[in-house]
Amino acid sequence: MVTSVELLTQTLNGLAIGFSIALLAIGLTLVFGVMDIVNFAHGEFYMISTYALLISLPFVGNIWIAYLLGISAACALAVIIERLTLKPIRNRDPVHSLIVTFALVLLLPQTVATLYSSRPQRLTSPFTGNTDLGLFTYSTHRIMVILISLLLIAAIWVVLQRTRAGIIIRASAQDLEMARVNGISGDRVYLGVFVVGAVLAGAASIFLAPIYGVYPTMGVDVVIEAFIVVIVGGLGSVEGAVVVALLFGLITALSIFWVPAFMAEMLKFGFLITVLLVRPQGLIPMEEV
Amino acid sequence: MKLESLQDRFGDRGPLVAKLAERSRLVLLVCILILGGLPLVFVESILLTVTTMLIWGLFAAGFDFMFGYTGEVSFGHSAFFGTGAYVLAITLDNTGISSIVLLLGLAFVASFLLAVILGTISFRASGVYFAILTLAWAELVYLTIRNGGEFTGASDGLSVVLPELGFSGSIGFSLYSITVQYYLAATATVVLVTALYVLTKSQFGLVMKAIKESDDRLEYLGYDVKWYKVLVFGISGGVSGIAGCLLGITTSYVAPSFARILISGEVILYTIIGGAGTLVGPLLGAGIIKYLEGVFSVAFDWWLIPLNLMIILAVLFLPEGIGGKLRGE
Repeated sequence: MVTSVELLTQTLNGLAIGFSIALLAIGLTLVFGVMDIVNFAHGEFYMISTYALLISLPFVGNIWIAYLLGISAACALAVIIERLTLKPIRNRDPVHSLIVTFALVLLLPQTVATLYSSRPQRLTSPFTGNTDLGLFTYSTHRIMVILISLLLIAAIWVVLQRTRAGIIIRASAQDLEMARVNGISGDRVYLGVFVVGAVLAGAASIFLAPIYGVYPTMGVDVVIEAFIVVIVGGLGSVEGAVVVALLFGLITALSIFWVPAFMAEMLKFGFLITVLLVRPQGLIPMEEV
Repeated sequence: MKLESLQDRFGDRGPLVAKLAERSRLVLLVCILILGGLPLVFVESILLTVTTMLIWGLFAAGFDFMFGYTGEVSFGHSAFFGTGAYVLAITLDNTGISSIVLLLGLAFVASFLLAVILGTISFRASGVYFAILTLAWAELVYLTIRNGGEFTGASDGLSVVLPELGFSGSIGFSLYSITVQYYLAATATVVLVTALYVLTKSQFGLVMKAIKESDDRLEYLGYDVKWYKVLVFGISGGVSGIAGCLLGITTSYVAPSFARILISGEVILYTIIGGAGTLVGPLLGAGIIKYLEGVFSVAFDWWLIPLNLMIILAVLFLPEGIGGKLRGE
């Protein structure tokens, strides 16, 4: 019998994971919506920022500074990738960008493993211990994950809906040609969106890494999950990405009561297949112009 | 199957390839002679390297059959490669089947069917979407193998007890012999690549190329494009399955690593470096890189870095690949 405390605990776990994946999925779906690029290497921003955090921590002492350095590293990587490899092939067959980003996925973890270490590392969260939530105590780290990610996602939403930059991004996602006609520089939007995606992925470092561990291919594991979320939610749809990410997080966490862990994965694949067959534009598709 | 004149097909391409095409039967004969004579000249350790080159070459050619001719990318071919290998191990473990030809056939059929099923679901979407999906399928197959418990040997894999390669009961060759493995791989490669080549030169091949150029137009002409894509995906997957099966024979074990996504990436690299759309190009590409890997095997893990930098540079600057350069593009 499952107690209500166990149920609540797992629900919170599901939300924590779901929100973290949402941070990655939002970036991925925005990049696809605006740039029509499938960035397999999206998870690498998460990986690089975590490693940058880990490596700089002994030097700067403060985990928050290290965190910001990590996000900056992700930013820098994004700029390098976009300018050097994506921009030159922008007008080509999209297949080329698929292959290039795929190569990056194989290349970057290996570079980290070679230059730094291939052994798994540990990242200790700045939020230690447990908080008393009245009914039960729960990991402080995961509570902070939920709260901060929620804030970040809300902030993103506000930016997209209310600010000029956000409107530019949404306009470019809907119809880049028209956006250009209205004076928007496609080139800068591309770079901007790509960097924003990387920053979000990098922000997830301090949340997910203490839970899932630090190892060179950590980005790969997380990116496949993010892709499935994005497809099921609807390519380009931020709302879809968030909703489905939470849904998957809850599925992963709550299903352990009834089925073995592997089945939870299969359930997600089942979702993917069903959506593809029944509603290929995604659960919450982007508004069409 | 109407075979168009080779001159029509290649007359306008680079002179080297036009000449080769005219004499493709001669080229084939020469290849058979060289491959056949190799064991007479070289030591077994070299033969082993060549066998590996051939197997991966076959895999790359199978991939190119889809990618180079229809333009669809798949990151999921590792699933078919792995399926072929596991079909070998699981069939040997659980049934009394001992005919290698039958086993190879089963590997083909299993991978073919898997590809057809996945293709039917996935080709509802366009190229980019389809490609992402293939990644998901690769992950799915990999997870299934790793979590398959006793049936698939889970993360440890299964060891393969190889039967004898026999002909009508009398002569039997031990498949543990490197020379025998070599001949098996060489024969399979020659037969399959030739078959694929003939397909690409036929009416079917024309449709494939038309898909790459403009599948919308093809649709308007009345062709059921999706069915063709699924079929091509199936054949491509099936050939990959045979390659996986052959690798399982060579190593006499199969493991989840046969199905990891990295393998899909490798095959894409070989195809691009060798030149997509030529079948032979990817075969050579795979051969060269596998050979180099053998030479640099000490530094293998580290080797992935320049390898993948090469893909990126190749896509950026040499989208037509080496085979393409030969073709005069």
